[in-house]
Amino acid sequence: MRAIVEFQKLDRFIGHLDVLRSFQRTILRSRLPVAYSQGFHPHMLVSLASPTSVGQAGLAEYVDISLAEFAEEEAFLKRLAEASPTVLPPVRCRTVLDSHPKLMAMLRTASYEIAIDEHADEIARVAETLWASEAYSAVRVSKTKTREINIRAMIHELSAENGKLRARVSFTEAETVKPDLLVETLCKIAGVDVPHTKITRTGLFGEYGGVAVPLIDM
Amino acid sequence: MSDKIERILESVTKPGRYTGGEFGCAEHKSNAEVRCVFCFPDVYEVGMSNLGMRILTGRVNELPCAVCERVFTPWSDMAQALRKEGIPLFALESGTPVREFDVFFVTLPYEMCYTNLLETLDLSRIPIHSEDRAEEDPLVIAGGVCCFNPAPLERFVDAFFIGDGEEAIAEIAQCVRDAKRLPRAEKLAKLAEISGVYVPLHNNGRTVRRRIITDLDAAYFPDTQIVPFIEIIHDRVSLELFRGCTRGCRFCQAGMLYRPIRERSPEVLAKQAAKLIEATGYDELSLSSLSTSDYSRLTELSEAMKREPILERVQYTVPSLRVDKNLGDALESDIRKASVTFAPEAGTQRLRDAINKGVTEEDAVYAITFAAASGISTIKLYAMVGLPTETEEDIDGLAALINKLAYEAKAAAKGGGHRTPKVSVSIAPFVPKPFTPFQWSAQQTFDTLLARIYRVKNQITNKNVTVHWHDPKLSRLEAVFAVGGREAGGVLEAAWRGGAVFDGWPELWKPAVWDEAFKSCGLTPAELVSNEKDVSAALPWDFIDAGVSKEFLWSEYQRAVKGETTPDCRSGCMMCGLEQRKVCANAGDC
Ligand code: SF4
Repeated sequence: MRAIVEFQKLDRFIGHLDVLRSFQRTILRSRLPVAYSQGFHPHMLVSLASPTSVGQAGLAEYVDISLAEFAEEEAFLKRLAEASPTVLPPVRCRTVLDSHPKLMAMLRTASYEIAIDEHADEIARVAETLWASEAYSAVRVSKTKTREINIRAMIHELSAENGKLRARVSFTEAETVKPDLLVETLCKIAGVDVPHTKITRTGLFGEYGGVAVPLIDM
Repeated sequence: MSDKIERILESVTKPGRYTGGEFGCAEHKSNAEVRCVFCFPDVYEVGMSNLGMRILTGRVNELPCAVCERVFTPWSDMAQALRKEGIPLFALESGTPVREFDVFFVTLPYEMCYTNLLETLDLSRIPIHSEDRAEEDPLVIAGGVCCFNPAPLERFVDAFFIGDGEEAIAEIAQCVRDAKRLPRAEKLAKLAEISGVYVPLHNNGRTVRRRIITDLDAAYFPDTQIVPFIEIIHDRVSLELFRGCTRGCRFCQAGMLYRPIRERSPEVLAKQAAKLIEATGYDELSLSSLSTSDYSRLTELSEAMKREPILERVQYTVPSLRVDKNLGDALESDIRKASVTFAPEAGTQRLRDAINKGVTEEDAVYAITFAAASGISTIKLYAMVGLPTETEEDIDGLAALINKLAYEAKAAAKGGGHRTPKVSVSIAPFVPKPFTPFQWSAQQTFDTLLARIYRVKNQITNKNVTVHWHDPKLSRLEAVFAVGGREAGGVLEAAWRGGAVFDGWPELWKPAVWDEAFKSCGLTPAELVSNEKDVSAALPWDFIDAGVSKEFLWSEYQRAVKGETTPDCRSGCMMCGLEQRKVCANAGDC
């Protein structure tokens, strides 16, 4: 059995390895029945699903914990929450069978809230134009290659108000739009310098019948 | 956290040093009458590994009337950003500016953190000079082993605390609460009444007696530990097996200052271990003390730990696992042994006798072959150069000893079917320290120290040996602050103003700034530390009663010069002075 736990990362300066280590210790403190790998150096079977990087906060992050015994969702969540640091609070728990697909395999899109310091009005205006357009090409630079992509096709929701941009974008191995690229693209269209942003990831989603469903509910 | 601070954190290395919010950190107490901040004047990862800081902050937070937050010295990138943005340094728990606290405690565990103290005060916008502080500025109170010679820091620190702090820090916090409405000078006068507290402003030649806790089992020990998000140097739970040491090495300040030896009982330690593991979720435990294998009840400790079910998965580490015949076999098998250390300190028996390092060449060979035969991958050797009475013969002897040990290690490893262990030798220049028999000794000049280091290094032919050494220039500085007087404080200030900070960190160490600082004060390290002192010379720390008597220290010095050893005082009291304070359990035997 596995427990999928949705948690928040309120301190955006914690790196993902540190989040993982923190969970391992939280689980030991909680004394919940976690499963260990076989072998000479057994390690706890705990993994994060696409954790946010240093600098981004997260409001719906996921940790996947393999259990050694049956656990009841509500009690599990309560004990885990009691043992958690305040900046990494668990908020939901769902237990699934071991055969349940890996969260990563179901991941399709991620939603973000991006607070923009400057040029908010111009950016909001072009966000509307981009959303209304059919296609727009942008250049994605990765470690290995630079590639032209149709960014519009990878944007699934986009709106802006009060200096905040909200977007849900593709987040799969083949198609990913980083929030930085989205902001850069909008600024390029608007003809303004890229402002300082503060990024919060608000959700990770799978897809069911064409509808975005939070990963924990898939 | 303000937007401005967040913006800064986006650009600095390791922002986790400044964010707080770790599991186990002190909760906000809105009704606290005394608000303290505890500073460890080094980076977060170093300070968070310090057991003393855990004990002392824990002790204050246990008081209903007080709260104790934490602050560390910001790394240079953070310091620069704070200054540029005009943001005063803040405490980790609540983000409150440091200068708004009632008390600024600082621990001074090594001299090379002195510039960091000035830097931290300045970044907090607390005037660095005691006399310039206003009524509302925090009281700056220092503790730690460096306070045994407060002279270099007297201008910068309002009060020093001498000795074991776990009781006194609570008394200090309560005293500050009671004196809250009094003017600053009167607050300090009240603090001066607490035993072990030295207030330069209110001393008038009074003797300050070191506080000693006799019963460690009864002493406060925290039952939890903050669990950092970022990795720290010693990222594990730690226990203090005992305080003090009976061996009597003549260069070792800790060995003199923490006398007498006081052990915790195995039962208490096992309970503390279980509580800490349960509370923190760590799976590693370190048994720390000056020389862990000297703990007299290791086997019982191992058994007591085995009776605690929660300790089953726990891995034990010993900060410096010294192999010798005393190491309890039972515990030994539980300890992870990637490396072991051995400290012959000096190369010839004559010099080892002079410094009273009670090991022989046979001991060293035994230890090293034992370790190598059991498959240890790294052997660390510690040695010193520039020791009192040292000659070139001793230096050559040291190189010969290292070569011999490396050879024996290789042979023993082969015999046991293991790979040849790496031998790493660390050479430190001798630094005279207060309250040691060598407090009267001169430190060798920079040139001599460097020449001796190279003389050792050049004679080491074995390919498995790597030699590291401490920069003699840093050791000179360490000596200046260890045994210097008030004038050393002037040099410190000049160097800090010139940009010196984090002197112990090679990437920030600025020797030229220090040269300039000495010059601007019209001083040289040589005139401060290169002269042998006479017994009649007044020492800056004479007014402190550390427990060991000056007569004992002087007689030990004389014995050193004559090459006479003094036995470990577990086998019989040597009348070091502690016997007069009725705090030493071993002293009863004499
Ligand atoms: S009083 Fe005697 S037994 Fe105690 S520490 Fe001093 S020399 Fe050792």
